[in-house]
Amino acid sequence: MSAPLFETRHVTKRYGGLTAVGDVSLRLDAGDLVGCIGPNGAGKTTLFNLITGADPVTSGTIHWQDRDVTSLCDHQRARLGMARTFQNIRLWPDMSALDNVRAVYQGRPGSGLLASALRLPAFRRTEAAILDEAERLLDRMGLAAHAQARAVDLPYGEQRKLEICRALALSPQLLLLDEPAAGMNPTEKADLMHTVKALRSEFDLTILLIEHDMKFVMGICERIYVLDHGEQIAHGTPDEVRADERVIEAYLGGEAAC
Amino acid sequence: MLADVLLDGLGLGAIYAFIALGYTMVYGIIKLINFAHGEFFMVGAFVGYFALRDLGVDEVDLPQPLPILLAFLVAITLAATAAALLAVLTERLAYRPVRRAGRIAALLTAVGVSFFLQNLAVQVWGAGARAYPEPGIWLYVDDLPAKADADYKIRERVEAVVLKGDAIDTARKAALRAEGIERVYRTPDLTKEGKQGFVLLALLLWTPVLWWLVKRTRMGRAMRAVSEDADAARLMGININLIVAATFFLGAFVAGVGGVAYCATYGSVKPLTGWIPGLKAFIAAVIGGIGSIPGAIVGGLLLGVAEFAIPALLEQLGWADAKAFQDALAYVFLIIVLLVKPTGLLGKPQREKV
Ligand SMILES: Nc1ncnc2c1ncn2[C@@H]1O[C@H](COP(=O)(O)OP(=O)(O)OP(=O)(O)O)[C@@H](O)[C@H]1O
Ligand SMILES: [Mg+2]
Repeated sequence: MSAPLFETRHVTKRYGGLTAVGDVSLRLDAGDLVGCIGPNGAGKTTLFNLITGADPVTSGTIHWQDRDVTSLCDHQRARLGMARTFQNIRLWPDMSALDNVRAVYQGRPGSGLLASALRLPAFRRTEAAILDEAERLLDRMGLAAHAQARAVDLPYGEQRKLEICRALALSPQLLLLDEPAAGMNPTEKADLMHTVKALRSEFDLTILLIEHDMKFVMGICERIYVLDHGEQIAHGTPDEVRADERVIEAYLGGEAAC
Repeated sequence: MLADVLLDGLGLGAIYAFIALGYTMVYGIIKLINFAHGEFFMVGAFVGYFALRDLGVDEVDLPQPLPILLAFLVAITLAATAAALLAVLTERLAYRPVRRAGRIAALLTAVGVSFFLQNLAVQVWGAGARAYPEPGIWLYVDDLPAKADADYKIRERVEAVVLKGDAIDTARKAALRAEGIERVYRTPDLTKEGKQGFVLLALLLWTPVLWWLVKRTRMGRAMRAVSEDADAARLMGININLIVAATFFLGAFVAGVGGVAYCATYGSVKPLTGWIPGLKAFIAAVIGGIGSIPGAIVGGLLLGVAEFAIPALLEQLGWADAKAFQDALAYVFLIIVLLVKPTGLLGKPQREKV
C-alpha cells in the first residue's frame, strides 16, 4: 500500500480542562475528497488548526507523505502544500482582491527577496507571471470583475470564493475548506459544490472540507469523518455515516439540548 | 518671515518624516513601538560622520562639487546600511524572543535596547558632541583675511573660533596659535536653507520609491498582508520573520539617511542625537496615524511646521518667550490632534477581529 498524502495519528488538543480534539486519526490519499462534520463545538476548526500548525498539538503526530511534520511551523507547512480557508473569513481586508491573491506568492519558493530589487528584468518577468497567474485564479472563481475591489467590500459569498482563490495561489496539494458554503444561498451552494468538485481535478487537489450543510457534504464527499466533543465517532461513506447510531445520537442529542 | 518659518518647518519636518516612517512601518507589522529607532538614527549619523571625515570632505575645496556629492552619497549609503543591519540584529536578538510575550514586554525591551545603545555609543564614541564634517576650505591662520568673510572653526568643535566679521590682526592670529590652532576651517557657503531644501528633495524622491516597494513588489504585498492579519499570512506560507526583518531593515535604512541629513543640517553628532528627534518623530507618526505610511510623512511635515509656526504665532500675539517652549508646544499639538482624531490624521480605526 502506498503512503497516504496526509495523516494525523492520535492527535489531541486540550485547552485547560477542555479536550477540543481527542485522539483523532485521519488519513487522506492523493485525490480524496473527504468531509468532516460534527455538531457545533465538536472540534472541527481546532482540528484544522492542528493540521495547518496554527495551533500546536497537545499530543499525537502529523504526517505529510510519510514525513513527520508535527514540529514544522505554520508557514513551513503551508509551503509543503497545504492551504486552507477560514470559517470566519480572514482575508486581508484593505487589500484588493488581486493583491490578496498576489501576496501569497511571496511565500512560494524561488521568490528571492533582494532579487526583486536588484535584478530588474527578472523582477518584472516574475511580477508579470504572478499577475497572470493571480488573474487566472480570480477568473476561474468568477471574481475577475472584482479584482481591484477591496476584499472587505466584496459580498460575503465572493469573499468565501476569494479565500479559495488565495489558498489555490499556494499551489497546494491539500486544500482544507472550513465551512465554505456558510452564509450562501441555495443557488450559490449548488454552484460551489460543482466548483469544489471541479477544482479537485483541475488542480490535482486532495480536499478535506468542514461543512454543516449535509446536502453539500453528502453530495460531494466520498468519505466522511464525524467528530463529537472532540472525539472521532464515525468514519465511512456518506451512506454508512448517515446510518451510524452514534452519529444520529450526536446530532439528535445536540438538537434536543438546544 | 512666513517663508522662513515654512522652510525651517518643512526641513525639520522632512527629517521627522524620515524617522517616523520606520516607527510606523514596524508598528504596522508587529504593533511594536520601537523606542530604539532613534538610536538606529544616531548610529547612522555616527557612521556617516566617520565616513565623511575619512573620505575627507572637509579637506576638499568647495569648487569641486562632484567629489563632495559622491562622498555624501557614499557616506549616506554606509550610514543607512549600518543602521539597517543594526536594526535587523536588534530585532533578531532582542525583539524576536519576546514577540509573543505581549506588548508591554516588547515595549519595555525596546526602551531597554534604546538605553543600551545610547550607553554603548557613549562608551565607544564618548559622550561629547562632534562637529559634523562639512565640505569646506582649510586655511592657515596666517592666510586669514583681515576681516573674516565667514565663520571659521576647527574640526573638533561645533562653535566657530572666528566669527564672520571679526577683525583679524597679528595679535588675534598669535592668540589662535597660542591655543594650538594652526589651521582653521571655513564654514561653507552652503546655507542652512540649501541643506533643508536638500533634505526635502530627498524625501520627495524617496516617497514614491517607498510607495512602489509597498504597493508593487512581492515583499511589499506580504508586508501589508502581515500588518493586516499576521496569522492568516503565516498560514498562507508567508515567513513572518523574514518580513519583519525586512521591515526593520527598510525602516532603519531610511532613519540612517535621516541621521546623516539631520546632523549635516544642524552641525553635530553625539550619542544622545537620536533621543529628541526620535521622540518627535514618534509624535509625528502618532499625529499622522501610527501604522500609516502617508500618515508618517504628513505627520512629520506638519509637526515640523507646527514647531516653528506655533511659537512664531504666539510671539506675534505678544508671548515673547514662546520660542523657549517650542518642544512643549509640540506635545500640546499632539494632544490636540489626538483629542480631535484619536487614531491620528490618516490612521484607521482598529478593526476588531472576530
Ligand atoms: N483557542 C481556544 N481556547 C480555548 N478553547 C477553545 C479554543 N479554540 C476552540 N476552543 C474550544 O474547543 C471546542 C471546539 O471548538 P471548534 O471551534 O474546533 O469547534 P467546531 O467544530 O469548529 O465548531 P463550529 O461548528 O461551531 O465551528 C469548543 O468548545 C471551543 O470553545
Ligand atoms: Mg468551526
